[in-house]
Amino acid sequence: MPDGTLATTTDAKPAVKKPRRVPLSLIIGGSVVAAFLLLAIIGPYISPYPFDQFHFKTRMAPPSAEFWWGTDRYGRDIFSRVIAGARLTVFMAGAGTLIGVVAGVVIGLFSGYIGGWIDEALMRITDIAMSFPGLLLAMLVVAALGANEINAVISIGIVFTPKVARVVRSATLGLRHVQFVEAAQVRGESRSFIIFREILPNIWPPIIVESCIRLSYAVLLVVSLSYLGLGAQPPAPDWGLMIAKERAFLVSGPWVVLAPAGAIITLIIAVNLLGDGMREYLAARKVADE
Amino acid sequence: MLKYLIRRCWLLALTLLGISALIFLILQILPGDAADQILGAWSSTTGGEHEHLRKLLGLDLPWYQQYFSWLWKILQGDMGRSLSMDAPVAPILLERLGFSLRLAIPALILSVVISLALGVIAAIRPNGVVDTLITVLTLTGVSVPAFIMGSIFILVFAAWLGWFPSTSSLSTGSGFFHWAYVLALPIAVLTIESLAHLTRITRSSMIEVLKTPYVRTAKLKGLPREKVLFKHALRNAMLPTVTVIAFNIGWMLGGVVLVEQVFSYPGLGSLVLFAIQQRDLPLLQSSMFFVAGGYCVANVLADITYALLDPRIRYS
Amino acid sequence: MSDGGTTVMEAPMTADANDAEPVLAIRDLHVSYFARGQETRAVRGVDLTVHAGETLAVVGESGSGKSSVAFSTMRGLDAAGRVMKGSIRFKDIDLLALDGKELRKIQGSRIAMVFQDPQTALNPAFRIGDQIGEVVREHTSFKSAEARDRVLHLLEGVNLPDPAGVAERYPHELSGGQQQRVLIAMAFACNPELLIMDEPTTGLDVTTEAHILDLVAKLRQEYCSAILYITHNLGVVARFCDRVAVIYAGEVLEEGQVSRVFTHPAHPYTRSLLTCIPRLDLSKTDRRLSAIEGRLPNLTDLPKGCIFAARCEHRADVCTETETRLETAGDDGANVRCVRWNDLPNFVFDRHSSGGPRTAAADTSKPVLEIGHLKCYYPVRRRITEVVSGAAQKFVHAVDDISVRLGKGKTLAVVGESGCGKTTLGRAIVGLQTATDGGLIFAGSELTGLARDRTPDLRRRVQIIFQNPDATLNPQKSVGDAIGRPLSLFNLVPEDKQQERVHELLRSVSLPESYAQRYPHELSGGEKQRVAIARAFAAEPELIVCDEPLSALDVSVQAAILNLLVDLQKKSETAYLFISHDLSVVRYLSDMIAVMYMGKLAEIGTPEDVFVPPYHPYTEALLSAISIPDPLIEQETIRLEGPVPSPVNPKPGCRFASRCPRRIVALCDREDPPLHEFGPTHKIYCHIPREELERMKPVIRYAGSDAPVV
Repeated sequence: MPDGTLATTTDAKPAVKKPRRVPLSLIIGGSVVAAFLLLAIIGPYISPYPFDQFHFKTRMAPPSAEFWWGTDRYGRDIFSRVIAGARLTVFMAGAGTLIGVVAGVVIGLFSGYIGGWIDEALMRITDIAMSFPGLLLAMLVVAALGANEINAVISIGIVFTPKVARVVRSATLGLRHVQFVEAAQVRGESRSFIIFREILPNIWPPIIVESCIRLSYAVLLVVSLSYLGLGAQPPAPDWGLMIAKERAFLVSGPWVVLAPAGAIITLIIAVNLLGDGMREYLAARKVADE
Repeated sequence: MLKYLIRRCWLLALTLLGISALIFLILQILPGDAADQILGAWSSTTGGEHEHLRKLLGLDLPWYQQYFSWLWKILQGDMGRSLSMDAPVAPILLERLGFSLRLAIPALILSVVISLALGVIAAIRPNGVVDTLITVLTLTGVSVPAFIMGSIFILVFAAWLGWFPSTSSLSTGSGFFHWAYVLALPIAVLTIESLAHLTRITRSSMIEVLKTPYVRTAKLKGLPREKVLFKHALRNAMLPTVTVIAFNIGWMLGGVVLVEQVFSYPGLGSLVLFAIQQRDLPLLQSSMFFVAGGYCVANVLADITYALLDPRIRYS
Repeated sequence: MSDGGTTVMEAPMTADANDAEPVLAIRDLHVSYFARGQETRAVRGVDLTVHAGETLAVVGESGSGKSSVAFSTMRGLDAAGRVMKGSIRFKDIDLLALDGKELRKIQGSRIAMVFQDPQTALNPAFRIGDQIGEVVREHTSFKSAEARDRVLHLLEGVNLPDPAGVAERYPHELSGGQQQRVLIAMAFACNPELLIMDEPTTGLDVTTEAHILDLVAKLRQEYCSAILYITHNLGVVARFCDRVAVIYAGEVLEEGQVSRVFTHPAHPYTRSLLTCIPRLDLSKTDRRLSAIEGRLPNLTDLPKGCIFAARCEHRADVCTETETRLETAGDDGANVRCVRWNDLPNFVFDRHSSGGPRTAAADTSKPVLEIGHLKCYYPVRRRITEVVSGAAQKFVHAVDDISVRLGKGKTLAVVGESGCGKTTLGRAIVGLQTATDGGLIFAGSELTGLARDRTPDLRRRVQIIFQNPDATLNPQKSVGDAIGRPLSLFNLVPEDKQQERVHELLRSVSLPESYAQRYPHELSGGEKQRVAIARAFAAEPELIVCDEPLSALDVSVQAAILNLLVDLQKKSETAYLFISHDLSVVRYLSDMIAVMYMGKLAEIGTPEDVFVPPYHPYTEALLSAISIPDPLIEQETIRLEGPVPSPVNPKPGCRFASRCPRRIVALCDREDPPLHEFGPTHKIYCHIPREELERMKPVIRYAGSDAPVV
């Protein structure tokens, strides 16, 4: 202790941590998304019929006690098919988002921190990839690789990578010359230490928010691709595919279209709410911290 | 400003070059080639014929020579020849473009105008009743895929109410009103889809701008509320909106593919899909390039608008 | 302007209209902010009166509520803030009772405001002329041609060169000082009766600040406006204002004539404020600075009794038991909010008595750092067309041939205005930037390249402390981790002793050991800076580059950090390279001062050398521009005119020539200035003949004498 008079701050009150309010949208969105995830896992065990079982006597049956959401033109139970479709859609969207986010985070971090010609080159490539409308780039990739579930997932990953990389890069650039990063440079920390231990922990908020946004687009892309016949192929119980294949019966039996449509809309709204809520929550946290 | 324009156009040329390379490279992955497709069922015929055709189409050349010859032809306005339609691609593209623009342009104008108004109204009282209502509406808008909204519109407005036709085929020689009648549903779907995004962006950037010191300055100058709101705030709040309008054109191009499919409308989107289904490589290559190139041009236009609105860009 | 006459600190012009109706009368003002269901009572029971032609300063540290007072007067509080109680009268108008339309008639015309941070206060999308013209057209019946003339007249009135040209420009094309002039022109657009200025010079360089203050002083005389001047800078108050209200945690603690409050402060808080600022006649060898202990009270849960009691060195039981109110103290019309003001000992300034320059012996110790002809140039990014056409690469000459040496355990201060290259110099030393040419010899070995290319041992021995306490610590790392990292990185202590060492380091910067578990957001600005200091000392360095470590802190916290730096240096014999723009801090702390201008050294010497003649003309101007919180000190008026040259490929000749009031035509523009040596330590780079330099008068003097203040 150099001197008693210096103890200016020792008697200061510890900062009071106020409980943060979790936004309603985060709670609702989060629980609905969780419900879909659960459905994706346990779906086959709770569905009343196998999703591909034909009931020839009850084709195009309207909703009833036997078939809750009716049947399609082969007499397959719509309810069972929608449940089975949850697994397909949720996993495809999730996997596509995961590929895009992981690749985008890595590229964005290195591009933003290292800078120079590597950054320049990577950003020109993302520029070009982003000058395609998302759905068209996905269509192009699927057209080249062949139309199936896995290629649809890959195409979503390819579409997302540059967008996530951009967000992460700009967040990284914002921290590139912040003093605690420069302090680490002066200490002589390695690049990977600075990138993963100093910078990454501070850019989780934008990454999380961006991931939520990406997830909702992923669901949209999955169902759009399968609607166009470029995703899952028949007889897969894919929601987009169901709507495409049953289009002709839209008027005579709206339930064949409305049931999967309802599922899609509910899921996307939930993911969007999750994203909005997450953004609000993280912004509030930032304010509270400062 | 002129310098800025020149630099922007220069960048556009580079981007277009990059796009063409990307399309070409991705499609190189396709198994088989045009010769296989033309010969189709006869592909089992003697190898000699196959080789001859490959030579004729230039497929025996290394890929980069193929790329440059394709690029060279495009520069001369020759977009190649469709295999499945057995016709030059360029005229088909132009005709389809006309059809698509009839959907996209009205939708774009409508959505920009409406979303600016809604965004400003919502931002005046964030979290008020009006704002909440608008937020709920826009959230629904972004959450309903275009093909589902299209299907529901067909069900409600065409099948049940019978107000509009369910398919949007344009008969020749029809006047403006017929045209509007036929395209009302697809345009409505496209408008709502892009409206939602734009409104959300306008709202949030307006809220940000209303917190800035220069808006405070404007208020404390004693200016009337409308002037503060529509002159000082909106002008700056428009900046992110303009960028999003550009993104939105891309979004809309995706929406066009889906909407055209739903309404069986013969636009560019259906053409791309047709090319994929038919594995019509020259048609696919050129139509993709056409669409992506158009999107880039739209982006450049948006950037220029941005520069007009923001002097900081124009002069640096 | 070059050889301006002496201006004694202007005697406060007591408005003879004291009996007349005041321009502004704030009575019992209470302002609260509401966030997440909590009420923060930011302003409580504030009374302020401003008469015509009078300037009232509201001075306080951050969190004092001074800006809330300003914005409630303008009826411009943001959505979260509300006036809870009290009245604000402007002449015979009750401002709080006005509806929107009536209010807008007054705002911008009869009451105008000048804001802090002019860069964000102007709308980036509109031309300067339009932004001023808008006010004129809104509040007068002027036609557009008349309005345009008025705008040009106003721009001319704020001494902007080429008013017509400025009117056509956008805000981003002007410098910070010019932007502030534009805001001032806008404020005077309709001859306001009351002007509210909210920290109008914060963030500007001292020479620009001096210009702005001169300008407002001229305009207030011309328009006879009353001014409410919000600031944290006591020096500016002494220089510019008639009366002062000292505000703390939302309450006015003392109010009175500037001359009286600054010479005979009655409230303990005012006294502490005045004594915690390093004075120009004070050095670290004289005495420690007095710091104010503790933190601002929590305004959501107010303590009973005097709001300052917890931090007051004179507190007694009565302080926390009795409610305080502003009462008249003495017979000269000052008001004090302290129950014990009458019991306090007399206040005496601890002035250095000798009055003459003290001479310091030349530093003969072996230098720890020798900088020889150091150059740091940045390439200017070229356009593609320039690359193609083969145009020569241009460089910003941030540091251009600097040679200085720093002795073991000594402090070398590098001072200069923004853009002078002082920060680049520090960054080159720690290896955040590479030097273009020249050498850095550190304790016998050469420092080259970026930090990661240096040996771990060299990295350990050279540390840095940064300016902004909020950015200096990684928000995701605990204090213990931050301080512990150098220990493990440089293998300074075995793993099992690390925690012990962290606690020891925390104690050495006067923080409790429990802080090791805290995260940066739980710390105040001063505490964060202490942690940063502990982190730098953890490496047991021989040299620490301090890059403006105090400039983001309140004066009371500054004093404590300054004391800490002095103590730690005494104990550890660590040398400091102290980068700063604040001459009084530098005066207190350093053994040697180097004055930089546009990448070049202008003058170097001990504080006693630099603060008395002979001066470099730039040093002379800097000393004239600083605001000193002491009405008994007078300064020569020397203002810099002329354009600031571009640092890109600078022209030959003296860099300062374009602004120098003592420029020798042709010679200064053509040739690099020669070196004059005065005594063993004092060097000046200037073309002015030696004899003339020696004849210069002291810039800072005790009033009524010729004795320089050192």
